[in-house]
Amino acid sequence: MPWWRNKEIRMSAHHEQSFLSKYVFSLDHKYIAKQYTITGIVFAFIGGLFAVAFRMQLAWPGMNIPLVGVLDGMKYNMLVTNHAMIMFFWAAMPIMIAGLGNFVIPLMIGTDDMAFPLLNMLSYWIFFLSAVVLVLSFLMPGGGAATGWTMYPPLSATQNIDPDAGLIKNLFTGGSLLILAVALEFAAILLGGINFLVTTINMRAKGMKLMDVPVVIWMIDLATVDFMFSVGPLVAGAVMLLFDRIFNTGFYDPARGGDPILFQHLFWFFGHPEVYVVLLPGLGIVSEIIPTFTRKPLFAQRWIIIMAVSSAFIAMIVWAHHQFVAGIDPRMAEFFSITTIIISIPFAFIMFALVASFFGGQIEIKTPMLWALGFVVFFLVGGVTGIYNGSAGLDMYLHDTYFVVAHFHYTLIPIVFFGGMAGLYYWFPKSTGRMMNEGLGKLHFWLTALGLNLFAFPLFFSGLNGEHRRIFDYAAYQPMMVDWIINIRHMATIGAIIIAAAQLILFINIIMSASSGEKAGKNPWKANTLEWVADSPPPHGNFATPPSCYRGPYEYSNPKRSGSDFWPQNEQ
Amino acid sequence: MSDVSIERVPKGRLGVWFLIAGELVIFGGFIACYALTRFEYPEFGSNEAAGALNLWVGVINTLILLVSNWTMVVAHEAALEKNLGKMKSFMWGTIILGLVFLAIKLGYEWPHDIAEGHTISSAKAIAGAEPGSEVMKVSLFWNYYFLMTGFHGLHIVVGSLTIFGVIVSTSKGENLHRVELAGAYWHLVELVWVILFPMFYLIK
Amino acid sequence: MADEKDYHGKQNYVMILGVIAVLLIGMVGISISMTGSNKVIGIVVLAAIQFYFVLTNLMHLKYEPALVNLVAYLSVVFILLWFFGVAPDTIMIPLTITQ
Repeated sequence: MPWWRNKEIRMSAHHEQSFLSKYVFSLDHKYIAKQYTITGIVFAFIGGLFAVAFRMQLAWPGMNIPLVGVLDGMKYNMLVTNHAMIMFFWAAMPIMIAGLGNFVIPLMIGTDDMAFPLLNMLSYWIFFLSAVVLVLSFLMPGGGAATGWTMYPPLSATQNIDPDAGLIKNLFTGGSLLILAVALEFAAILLGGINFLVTTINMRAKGMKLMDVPVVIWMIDLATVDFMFSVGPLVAGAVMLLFDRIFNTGFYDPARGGDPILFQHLFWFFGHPEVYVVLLPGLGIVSEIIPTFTRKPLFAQRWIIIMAVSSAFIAMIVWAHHQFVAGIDPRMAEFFSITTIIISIPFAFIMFALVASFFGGQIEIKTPMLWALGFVVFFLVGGVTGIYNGSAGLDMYLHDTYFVVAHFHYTLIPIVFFGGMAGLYYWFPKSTGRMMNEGLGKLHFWLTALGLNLFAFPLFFSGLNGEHRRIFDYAAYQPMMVDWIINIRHMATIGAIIIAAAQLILFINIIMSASSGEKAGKNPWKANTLEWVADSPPPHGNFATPPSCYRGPYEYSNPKRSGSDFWPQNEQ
Repeated sequence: MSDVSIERVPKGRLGVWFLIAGELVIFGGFIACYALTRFEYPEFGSNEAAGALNLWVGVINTLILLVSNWTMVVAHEAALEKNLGKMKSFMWGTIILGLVFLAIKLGYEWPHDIAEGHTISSAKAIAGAEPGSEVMKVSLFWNYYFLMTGFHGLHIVVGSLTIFGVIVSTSKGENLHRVELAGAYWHLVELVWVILFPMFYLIK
Repeated sequence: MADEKDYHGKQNYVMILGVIAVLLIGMVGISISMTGSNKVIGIVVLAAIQFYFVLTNLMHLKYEPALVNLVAYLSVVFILLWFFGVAPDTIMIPLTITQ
């Protein structure tokens, strides 16, 4: 059989591997996780710079932006569209789902690799291909897509399309290539997701019952299930949109009998569960970090999981709250308002449980814990303002204003940034064998937190005042040119610049720590879960002998265990 | 339903079920879109639209696909009995029947429809037509027809290649569990056709 | 691999195929001879039964554990949910009900 199916060879460190098979086409889940995470961080930076560029236009209209030049309406729209696309599909998904899941799942369940290592490697390279197609889309004649990340037809079906130009010319346009890139990215994550689910179900350590599986893995698996069930209609819808562009079909063209609202429904049926797909892993990461740094069990662990499962289901029936003003049937608007308000209940429960986990704990504020705390505090702001948007009546006024922008940045930045950073700082010692610099880490946190609040909080107020989204220059809108709103635009831009600049501290920290950080040892945080049993960094095959699991993951400060405030899962 | 817990299902089979669920939602998306549009436009049932499809050719194709599913299950049973010769020939039979299906669809049905002026974009047919007229709606039917049968055909190609890959990798009697996995994908193709055939050919 | 034989046992595949073929004939018969909404309902029902049969018998879903069944059926459930969520917008159910 091929060497990568032979468990003995895989678990020995000495088999011969060429450079390509060791570093490029590696089948090792830890390596694939690094590939996903690094690609994700690079694209997060690109997406962030796009945002800084268009925010500069908003604060100082007509300015000559370094590296970009003066923006016109089309270029502004391109930056806005691709900022969101990149952040969702080439930053959040690879970091929070693919990178996190690939690194953490086999280690935490005590096995040597994923269920399908070859499929795992293929999914990364399909993902990489999708990133290449995305970058190509920016270079096409006419530029990248400029339709908003939501790609609503008829604009997205006709932008840069010449009906007489033929298939190939219309395929090589920004909008068409973007659709293709997104479809490839979906395929990659779908294939990776199959790996996660089968591995968790089938390859757990001896004695690990479902409730002994750490919460972060539950969350990643639930997110994968949500993704799998919701992406189908959008794949169908995206193919139909692509066909409208390249084959001149009429799926979304009202003159041909098509319906633009159909695309909206297809898009948001996926688009809404997608935000929970990125949220759940963030909640999971925080659920791992809080017990470790409070030295006590996670409060209501079983109920957190039950609430996560129910929210994953409810997430599938709230989608049209993005379409309240699109002209949908008012009776459905009523239904979706109700389900949207209901979905706040399981998440509120989880937030309360996380807060309750602090009570009576011995709290140690290391960098991962700081990021986790920041997540809990700032996500609350985002979550609560979501309820305002969820009421159809109020949304009539708030839709497409900066209130919504502030809401979703107060949810997405805590989820992806704060949650992702918490995970990065927490598992960096395991992945590289070195500790990160605490001082730099804390500085990184406080600057990012400052940047987030300076950027997003003022936008609630300008949004409430009617400042509309996706406008490149407010000169034509006199009510938006009053002093206090102009000041808010300035503040938000400075906040965005601070967020971007603060990430340089992260890069410095990573480079410094990876080469000369303090050696971490196996279990620097004195945590219970199985990944801390392996060496840092774990070798091929992860564990010298496969561990068994004797208890749940959060047995901290258990009175039955004398002499130690933690009780690892693999010790009798 | 089995009493066996999901943890005891072999990982290849479990993985294939997740893949099938994922593919079902994708095709389900296409099917639901067509269904919504069909309810809206009875014109889809007219003689220029669904009426122009040859029912009996469709029935023959459906039977061919059905038989190919039977040959695939027989191949699976042969694999369980370790009868390598029978397994191989029935897998080849499945591939050949699948290719016959494609040949009829791509060699007869599609060219026949295109010759009558129904293409994927029906650009010539709709040139100059009034927005919202019946000609426009009929062209939308053909958009859906070519799109969905095209993707179904693509899955037959992928399925055939998969079965071929399994023939190669089981030639020495190893990896026999893969026969069932390739079979599951082939049955997915049948599942989709079971919905597509009545949707296009029968509801008119 | 040991689970293969155990999990579904020997089956009469010709009979299963026969049932599907009979349903097919039924559907074609309805298509030729009936009209109106009865026709649509009849064809949809028979197609659904065929779908169920292929899934449970040919793909051996009925021999799989409950959670695998759940995964397969949920895919259909979510598509139906989406369909009914969108239908009021596309199929234009009259608004006079609420006014």
